[in-house]
Amino acid sequence: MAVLKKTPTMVSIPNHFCPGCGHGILNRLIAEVIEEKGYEKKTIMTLGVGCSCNMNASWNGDKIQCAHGRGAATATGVKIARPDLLSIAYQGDGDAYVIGLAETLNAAYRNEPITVFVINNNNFAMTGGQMSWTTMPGQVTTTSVHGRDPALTGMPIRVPEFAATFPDVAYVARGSVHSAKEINRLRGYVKNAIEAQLNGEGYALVEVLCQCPTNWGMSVEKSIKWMEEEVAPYYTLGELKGRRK
Amino acid sequence: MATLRISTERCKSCGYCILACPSKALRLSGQLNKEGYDYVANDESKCTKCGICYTVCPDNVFEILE
Repeated sequence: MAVLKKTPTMVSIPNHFCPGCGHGILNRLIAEVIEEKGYEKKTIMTLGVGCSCNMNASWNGDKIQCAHGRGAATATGVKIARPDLLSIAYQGDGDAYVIGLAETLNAAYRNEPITVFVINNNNFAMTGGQMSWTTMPGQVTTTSVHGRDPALTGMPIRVPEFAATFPDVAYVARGSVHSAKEINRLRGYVKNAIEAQLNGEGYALVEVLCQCPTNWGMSVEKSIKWMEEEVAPYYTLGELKGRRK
Repeated sequence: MATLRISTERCKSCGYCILACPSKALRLSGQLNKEGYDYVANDESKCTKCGICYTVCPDNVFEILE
């Protein structure tokens, strides 16, 4: 039987994310591109702390569990030690943009030749859904029980837009998993981000808007509707910095 | 002819595929898998094997074989 759509080997182990969580979709897209490039045995994934930790059990490839927020710093070390390998940091927004903002931005600023994927689900999901710097105005979390008040806590942070301003950075994009159409677009961003590293073009960052039905207290249907109507308009989707080559 | 393979043991009953299926061919089966989730089932007469369920599924439940 010819296979038209087959689960990539790197995600062949069932994952431990909550029902409806978008992490699994990004996992599969990354696995598809790595397999397409023939890098299954030549990739090291540096995992952030948070829901990314679930991949310790399910990601069927080499990986390192990093200290909180240090995914990009560890990926930098991997690339220095083994420049022949594909070095990918996989983090959440709480990990990459709050605890590890310094490491994330400094890796981008130095134009380290690594690929960074950041899941943005607008909260600290693993720890029970606390407000993060990406939480939307009015969004109810366990630490913003009346909804996030921007007058008190500021507006949500948009790190990729900042990273895209660094002159040498190779590729920056933001995708989403709230529809099949956006997932297909996201696959293109994932491919570009990985190819940028393989071609020695420099640092690449892809942020991925991702539903978190468990902590948002919404069904999958409500989650993807909210993402389309509220989240995606604030966090502009598309390529923020295209590849030069 | 293409066939849709459903790994029911991986399904977490989130329903994203049911929302995304353009042919309305998917539904919850009413049966529970080992993890206790009401897994998804396919209506072969409606399914066009377009692969959108594969695209949106976070748990790699679907594969399309030919």
